[in-house]
Amino acid sequence: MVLVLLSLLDELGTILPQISNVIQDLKQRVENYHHFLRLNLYNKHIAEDHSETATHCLYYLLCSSDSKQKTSALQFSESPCCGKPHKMDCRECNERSHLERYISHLVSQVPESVSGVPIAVRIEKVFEKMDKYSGHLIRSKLQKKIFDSFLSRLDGKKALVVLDFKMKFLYRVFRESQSAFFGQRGNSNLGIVFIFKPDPNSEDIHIEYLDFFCNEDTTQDWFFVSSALQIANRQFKERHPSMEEEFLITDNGGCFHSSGFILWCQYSYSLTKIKILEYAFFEAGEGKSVCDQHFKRWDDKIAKQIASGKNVSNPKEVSEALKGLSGHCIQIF
Amino acid sequence: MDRTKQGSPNAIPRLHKISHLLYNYDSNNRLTGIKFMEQSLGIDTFSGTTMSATQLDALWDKKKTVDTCSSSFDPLITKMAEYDPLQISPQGNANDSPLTPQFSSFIKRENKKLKEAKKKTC
Repeated sequence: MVLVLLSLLDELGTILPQISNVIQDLKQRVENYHHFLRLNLYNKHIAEDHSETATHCLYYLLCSSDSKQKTSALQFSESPCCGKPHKMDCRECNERSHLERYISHLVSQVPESVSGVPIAVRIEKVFEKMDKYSGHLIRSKLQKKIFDSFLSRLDGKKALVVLDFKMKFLYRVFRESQSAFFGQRGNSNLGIVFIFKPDPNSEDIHIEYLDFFCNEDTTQDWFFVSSALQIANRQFKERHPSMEEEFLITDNGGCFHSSGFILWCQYSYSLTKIKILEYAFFEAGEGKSVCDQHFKRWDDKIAKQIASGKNVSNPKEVSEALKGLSGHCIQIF
Repeated sequence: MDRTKQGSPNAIPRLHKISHLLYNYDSNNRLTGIKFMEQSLGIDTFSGTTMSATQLDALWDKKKTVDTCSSSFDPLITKMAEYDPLQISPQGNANDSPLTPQFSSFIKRENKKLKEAKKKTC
């Protein structure tokens, strides 16, 4: 994204050699803004709640663009998005609009005789991508807040359940190179992580992992997910009879974010005696760290098994390799 | 279950935009509706569309009859869920024994039975 913008600025410099000094400064500013986007925007600028700075206020940032336009017209009055005033301004957050305005001004000086896709169009696309990335960070902040709220609401009756598919797994044999990997090949593994507090008076949070390893049918669809969750919930209920309610977290994969699975969840209570209270779809790369940590341990165990001279070439050997992972169990379909 | 028929009718409006769902229940643990929320306005001031239980039931029936050949209430699934519950201690047990070949042979056997039953009905 930023590399493209930098190369476009170089191109602009070759078309307009008289502004090469300005271009160098601009490139530095673009790099600084990139650094800000990657490190500071999420960690230091976006608040988890209302903020007096409009560009930091989570509620303002999440409202529709129509409402934002209304707000910018009345910048110092009450915002229709969060109902509270925004009196402050952030120089670093406003750098994006300053950069865009400045670069547009320079691009307007490019003569029309230059062939190819207009540089203005390409620069506009880069800024669109930057906005989408900022949007991803803002939504991630909200989801962090949702995750924390789920954790804070755990008591002796509620559990937080995170579902995610592991990247497809290929069998391996000792001292033989692994066959070429393609996305569609391999075996599926659905990881289900239960996070709960068995004792409501204690601060201890317990975690249980359940893996559903598909040996033959590796279809990742809502039917498989709902079946696996049904089995997992029933067994979880048997182990912890006091559990009655659940919060679900998944990504936006087609097997999760589909009408089939959403509608199935309403029957969870009649099938498993566990009610699903809330269901949150998280951004790519967010919210499922618990599953990813578990999958890392999964991979380490498999690698250890191979290194010790054994094969992992069928479900039985997979389950043998994974023996010893605490709080973990694997079921093979 | 015909897994080739994955596409769903556009049952839930703006499904791709929805990021959070609230399942509402009455005192008898019966679902009264689902609130579908898009990612806006934070978690304190949710706003979104709600579908009632009857609407959802109608959608589910449609899902069963139009989209898929059978439903998630497949007897096979129920049997699988009842099959040999796992024992995992809350603290984690290093000796957790996994269910292996018996489980898959059980599924294969049940799949065969289902296929034969389907053939007979056809």
